[in-house]
This record gives sequence, C-alpha cells and structure tokens, in this order.
Amino acid sequence: MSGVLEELESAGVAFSTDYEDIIAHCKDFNPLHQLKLLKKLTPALPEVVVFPKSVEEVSKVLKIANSLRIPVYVFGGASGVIDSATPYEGGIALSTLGLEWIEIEEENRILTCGAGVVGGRLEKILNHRGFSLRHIPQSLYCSTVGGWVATASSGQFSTGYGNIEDLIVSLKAVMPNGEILEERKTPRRAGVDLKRLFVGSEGLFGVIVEVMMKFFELPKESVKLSFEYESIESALEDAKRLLPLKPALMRVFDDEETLRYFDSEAFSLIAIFEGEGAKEKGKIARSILRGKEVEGYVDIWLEKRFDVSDISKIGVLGFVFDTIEVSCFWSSAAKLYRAVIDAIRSVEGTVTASAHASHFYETGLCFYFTFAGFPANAEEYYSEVWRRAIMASLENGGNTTHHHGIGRLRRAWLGEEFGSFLPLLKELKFIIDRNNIMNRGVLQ
Amino acid sequence: MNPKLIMRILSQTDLKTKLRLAKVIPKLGSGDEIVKCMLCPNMCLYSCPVFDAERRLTVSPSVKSRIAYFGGEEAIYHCLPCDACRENCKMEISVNDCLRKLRSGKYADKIDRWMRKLSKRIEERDGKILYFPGCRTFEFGLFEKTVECLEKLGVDFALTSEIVCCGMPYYEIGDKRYMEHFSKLKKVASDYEKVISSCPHCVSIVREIGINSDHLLTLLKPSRIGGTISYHDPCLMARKLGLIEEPRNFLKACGFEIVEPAFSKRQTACCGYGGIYRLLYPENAEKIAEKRRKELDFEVVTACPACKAALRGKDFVELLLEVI
Repeated sequence: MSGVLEELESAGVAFSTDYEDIIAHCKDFNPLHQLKLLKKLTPALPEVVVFPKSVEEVSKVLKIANSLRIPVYVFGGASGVIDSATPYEGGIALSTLGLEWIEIEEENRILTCGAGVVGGRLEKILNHRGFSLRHIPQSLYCSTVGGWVATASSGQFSTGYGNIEDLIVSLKAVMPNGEILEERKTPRRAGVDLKRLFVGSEGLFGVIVEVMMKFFELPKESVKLSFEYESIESALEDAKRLLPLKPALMRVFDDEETLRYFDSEAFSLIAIFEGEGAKEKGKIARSILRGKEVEGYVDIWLEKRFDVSDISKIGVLGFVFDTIEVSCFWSSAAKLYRAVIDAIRSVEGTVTASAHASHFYETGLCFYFTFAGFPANAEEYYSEVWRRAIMASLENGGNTTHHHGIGRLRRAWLGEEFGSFLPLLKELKFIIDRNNIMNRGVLQ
Repeated sequence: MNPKLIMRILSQTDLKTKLRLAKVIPKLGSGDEIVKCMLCPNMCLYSCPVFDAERRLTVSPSVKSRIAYFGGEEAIYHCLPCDACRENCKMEISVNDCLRKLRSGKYADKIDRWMRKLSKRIEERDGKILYFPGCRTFEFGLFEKTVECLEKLGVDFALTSEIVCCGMPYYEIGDKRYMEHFSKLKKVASDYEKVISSCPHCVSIVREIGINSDHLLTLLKPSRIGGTISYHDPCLMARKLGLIEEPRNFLKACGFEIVEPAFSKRQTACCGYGGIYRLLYPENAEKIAEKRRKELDFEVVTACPACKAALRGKDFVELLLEVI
C-alpha cells in the first residue's frame, strides 16, 4: 500500500483509513459474513476506502491502483449475497455511492444515472412523475443501479419487462487502467454489443460508473389473479399456459411458501396483467387456467414482498438462512424442484426448504429456493447445502445461477456453467486487467 | 409464526436439530434491536437523509448499527431523529433511538456553546395554556412573530422565562443534563392545562415526559390568502405527531393549491436541521437541506422552525401575519 495514500491525496480523491469506514466495507451480504459479525469478527478488511464523486475520479483511482498493482474491490450498497465484494486481500474498497446523478428524459423514456444511485430512490422519483423502472428486485431499496448491472439482476416484473440486460440502453465504465469506456447512445445497433461484457461482470473488467436505462409509464389498469393447485406440476402447467398472454408478473409458490404467505397448504400461482388490455387478458386467463381461483393472494404478496425481517429475527439466534436461484427449461422444472428440495433437506440441520418460481421465459423459468438451518457447525452446513443443491440442479437439467451472480460462492461450478467458454473469460480478464487488480478471486 | 407452519417444519426436521431448536424457539422474536438492524441488508437505505448527504455506507442505518455493535464511537452520532429508517422498517426499528442509548456526551461542548447563544429575555404572561416556543423558534426568529400572531387571533396563552429549551440536544447526545431540563419542564408545565409549541420535536418530547401537548397549528385559524405552494412535512410532525392532513386542510382553507413533492407525508424527506446533526456536522446538514430544497418546486410552507430555516420557507404564522 506504500504510496497509495499520497497518490490519492495528490489526485484529490476523498479517501479514508478510519476504522469505522474500514469496518463498513468489510463484507457483502453473504450469510456466513453475518454469522461472523455476530461474533464481532470481520470477514476481511480493506486498507483504504475511496469515495470518488465523478467518472474522472474513478479513473484516477484505478490508474493509481493499476500502477501500484493494488487490489480494488467495488462497493455499491453491499447487498449482494455471493461473497463478491469482500476485500480478502485488503487493498482499496472503491465506493460507487458518490456517483449519484440522475437525468430523466421523459420524451425518450430513458434516464441516465450514476452507478451509485440507490434503486428505491430512483423508483420513487419516477413514480412521482407517473413512471416506473419496472425493475423491482427485492433489494430495490438497498441496492444500486451499478450493482444491478454488475450482478445481471432480475426484478419481480421481469416476466413482463425483462431483466436488467433488457432494460439498459447504454453504460459507461472505467477499465482497470483508468480508461473510460463510452459508446454512442442509441436504441439499438448491429455489431458486437460490447457493453454486455459488463453485465454480470461482478467488477471483473472495471467499474460501471453510469447507466442509461429505459423506464415505463405507471400502468393505469391492472388485473390480479390468484390460483391454487394440488401439485407443483399442475401449477407450472398453468404458468406455461399463461405466458403467451404476457403477464407483467407471475410467481408459482410451493406448498410451504403458500402456507407461509397465504396460510394455505396448496401450491399457488399469482399473476398481474397491467396496462391497456389487462382486463381482457384477465378474462382470457380465467378461461384457460385449470387451478382453483382464490381471492387476494396478490395483494398479500405485494404487501410482504420486501419484508426480509425474518433474516434478522432468526439470524440473531444463530440460524443459517440463504437463497439459491437457478434456472432450467420447462421440461426439467418439476423434477429439478423436487431434487433440489430433497437435496437441501437431506443435510442435517435443515429446518426449512421451500421454493417459488419467480421469473418466466418462453423456454423455461427460474426457481428460487429458500432454506434455513440450525446446525451444529454453520460453515460446514452451509457449504454442504450449497454443494448438494447445486449438484441436484446440475444433474436435473438446471444451472448454477439465475440472478444473484457467481462471486466466490459459486466459482467451484464455473466450468459446469460456462463450459468451454470459460477459458475465453479468463483470457478476457487477462487482456482487460493485466495486473489483476479488479475483484480478485471473483468469477475466476 | 403460523402454527401449521411450525408443525410442518418440525415434522421435516431431524431429531438432533429438533433438540437444538427446543432451546432457541422460546427466544424467537427476542434480540437486541441493534443486532437485528445490523443483520438487515439496509432495506431503509434509500430513505436515510444522512446516508444520502454523506454518500458513505459507514453512516447508513444498518452499518451504523454494525459499527455500534463493534464499539465505534463516531458514526453513532451521524444520525437524525427523523425516523425515516423506522418508517421503512418491517421491524419498526428506529436507528436513532438505538444509537442514542450508546452515545456518551461526546461533543457536549458544541451543544453548550450553542445553548449559551440562546439566552433570551422573555416577557412572562399568564394564561391557561403555556406557549413553549422551543429553542429553534428563538434561533430562527419565529418567537416574536408567533406571539404577535397569537395575540391577533385572540388566543389566551402564557409565557414563561423559566425554561427555554426542552433538553432535546442533551438528550440526543447522551448527556445526562437532559434530565434536568425534562424535570424542570415537567414542573413548569404542570401549572397549565396544556403546552403548545411551534416545534414538533418539543411537542414530541413534552408528550414523552407525560404532559398534554399539541403543535401550535391546532390554535391557528385560517385566513384567505391563495397561491401555489409546496408543503414540507416536518419528519416528527408527520411520523410522531401524525399531523399530515391537518396542515394541508389548513392551507387549503387559506386558498392555497398544494403541490406535493416526490417525498411527502409519512415518506417525507428530512431537511437536515433536526436533532443535533446540524450542530455537529453543519456542512452535511446543509447538503441535506440543499437536496430537499431541490425537491420542492414552489414557495415552501412548513410547520417547524428548523425546517423553515433549512428550506428557506415560511411558517404558518408568517403566512397569517401577512393578512391578519
């Protein structure tokens, strides 16, 4: 770290080596980190935290880090769960939160914002003008726009509006050598879409500093549907039946989650149609769905959808709690669901294992598994649940991640996920980040 | 938790785990609020004015709780009594309430210096209800105007010179001298039917120490004025006193068209001048005020002397004095 502070000082970039700033940047939201905190332990500690306020300042920081070969870990809201931002090798924690500008172009339905803008604030500002991002991850209120792109995130309305890669129009990034990348803004172009290199890049290739995104008019009309089923198969069949009608949101809950949310022991499906024609679509949906219609589940779910207080309530007692999201084609869905649930339950210490399908495509869906355990050894339990669950997914037609990312948590299965593309990823990393300063240990 | 869910969970859990669970199930729902907050992913982050001004995770709600848990002594002062965190917390945790208990009077010298500037000569008068202006009413030049307004409205009110400040600054900073202020205020107030204040924080404190208290607004009578304004909800006025529609109804009765900002009513955004934050970190408080000013498109009307000063707006009494 010799010389870094002097260089940051002369570059005029705000930084801190204060103990409290260091502790604030010691981890992301991976559950094992939470258990460490309870013991007053820190998973890792950066040596300095930098607070750039502009694209140029980010560039200055990376030039300094690159010339001195100092590791850099990028921090937005630190709500990621895959052990990605954790500064295991010390170095620099780079906070993007000072990149907070917002420009809204109503005529073009696009906005440009700094990577450090917190999603919830952006959404509220848009709502006030009659618009919405329609990118509503559960972390909306604590995650940043830059973080969404870096993790390839999905929102609750992805079935109707797409995932983050469908919603970004352009982005600006700073390469590890400090070079600023910017393209001509346009609704679409032919040729290689190079900005996509940064979607899901988890800080590997540089720092995403600015994002241009689409936004939508707040729908004036919406129809909410709730149905119950006797099995996961029949619920999934109805979900597939509903897809051609393009619901804005659709979710299928297994019996345990239906019990938790709606106090019923069936399987369930909820859907929202919105915008012009929603009522008509609702009528058609009712005529083709084979489940039993029930009242009010959508409203109950909407009310509870950002409630993550159980993490704190059971976390304080030492429970291990986490979620695992994978995707699969329709043909594998029911089999994969059972296999992963059985795999999680097979680990001693498991208290609950449940799932819902949360994002749907013509070709398949995302299953989102939730587990909680009260094991004798938390670390061993956690790693065994993950190992068995991911293996069950891979053996039953699924993959390793849908929208939380890879980080360090899933890197053991990188080969399974990327296949023979993996060497290309490594080569790209080498070309772009010769000195390997960016998020070392992540995605590699 | 749903009993059916508990039965289901138990039926699927192995015996060793069940035995371990038996020891902790009685503790479900318990736990220190600081720890629960620390374990949250910061779900109220977007609403925290201090974080928004400083743009540091260090002073974000959940991370402040982490730092407090680790024994940190600086970030715990970087907080406002706005309760935006509590408003957006499913566990209803007020981070400032948690942190206040851990503050030990650091920076009391700054509060002392500020308090000394407040010495104010008040012409005492008798009445059934006590008008307790609150220190910021003096600081921001609203005292004389309020007295004039109440007199013109024919309100029977008392004034005392025995106590100027409710003790909030000492209370917020963790200096035990707040107790002297509280007990003196209680003693003085016990001679009156009710205490009225211009400051929502004073009303809140006076109520907390068990005295019947209301905001000044409840004594005012609307007069026809007219125009278009932005109404800024003072945090404690909306969140603690629950006065949300009352000021709006008053302004409508005065003939105003009210334009709501993006953050209003219980989701209002703090002006930055609340509590002791401005006294400890004036530059950051000014950043919050500047951000809030940008959200308000028209002339700002508000019902708190600190908000009025931060947002360069008008108090209700100033509006009324223009026409009565």
